[in-house]
Amino acid sequence: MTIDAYLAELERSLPRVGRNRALREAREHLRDAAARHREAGASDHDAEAAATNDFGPVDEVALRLSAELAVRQTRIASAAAVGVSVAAAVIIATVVYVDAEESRSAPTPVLIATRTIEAGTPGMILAGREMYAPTTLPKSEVLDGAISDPSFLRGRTTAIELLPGQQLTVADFHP
Amino acid sequence: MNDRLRGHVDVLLLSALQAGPAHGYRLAEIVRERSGGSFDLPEGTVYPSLYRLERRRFVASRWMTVDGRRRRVYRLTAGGTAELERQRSEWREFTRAMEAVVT
Repeated sequence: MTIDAYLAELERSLPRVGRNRALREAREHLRDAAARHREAGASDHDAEAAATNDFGPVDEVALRLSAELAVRQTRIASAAAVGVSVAAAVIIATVVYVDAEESRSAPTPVLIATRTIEAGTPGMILAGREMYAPTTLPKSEVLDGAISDPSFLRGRTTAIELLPGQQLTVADFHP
Repeated sequence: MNDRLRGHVDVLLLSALQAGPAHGYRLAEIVRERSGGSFDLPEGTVYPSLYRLERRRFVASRWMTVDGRRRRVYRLTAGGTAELERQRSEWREFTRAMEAVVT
């Protein structure tokens, strides 16, 4: 795959917030990687193909990037709402309307089990054996206490058995 | 080997940054070189990890001109150094326990 084709496909899969930066970094990275392959004797076409192959399957990279960028987008939206509330309290009383339907469908990062996880499994084992994967779900489908940050699992163990496809929540782990 | 690494990319990148500020491509190179080629992750996976580390204030980044091109360069923060030491300690304990059981 050419670098341009790879980035075009990546761009279609990423959320708006942070997308430009991610694409710019990916482009520079792929240019470096292609240059390395050309120095090793590859043609321009083969060098770009090798570079995009080394970067990873575009759907896998997009999934992992989207999970991180979605967290940033959610936090920026929250910070903006707080800022608006503070300004309103200082100047005049205003009311902030939230589009309930848009809020319910907002892509929200979660971790889901990729295989059966026995009770008592340490978080480090979950990470080392790829027993979970990050994904995004509509906000209306995200369970209370759903975990989005893998670092939460460090030092914790599962309290119950988890089945493939199940969202990981705080309640599923011993404190 | 590489499948087991996916859960440890964060600590690999924090370790690579101890040598000094670097952009994502260089960090992927450092991990590959230091491991003698054993750790050859899909290079695109470094960026979700870097964004997560930055969100948690373990690394900071800014655009800089490197070799005539604009690059996002990352550096370790004080919090990142502390987190790296904590993870190293955790890893040493984990490997000690594993070796005690499996060897």
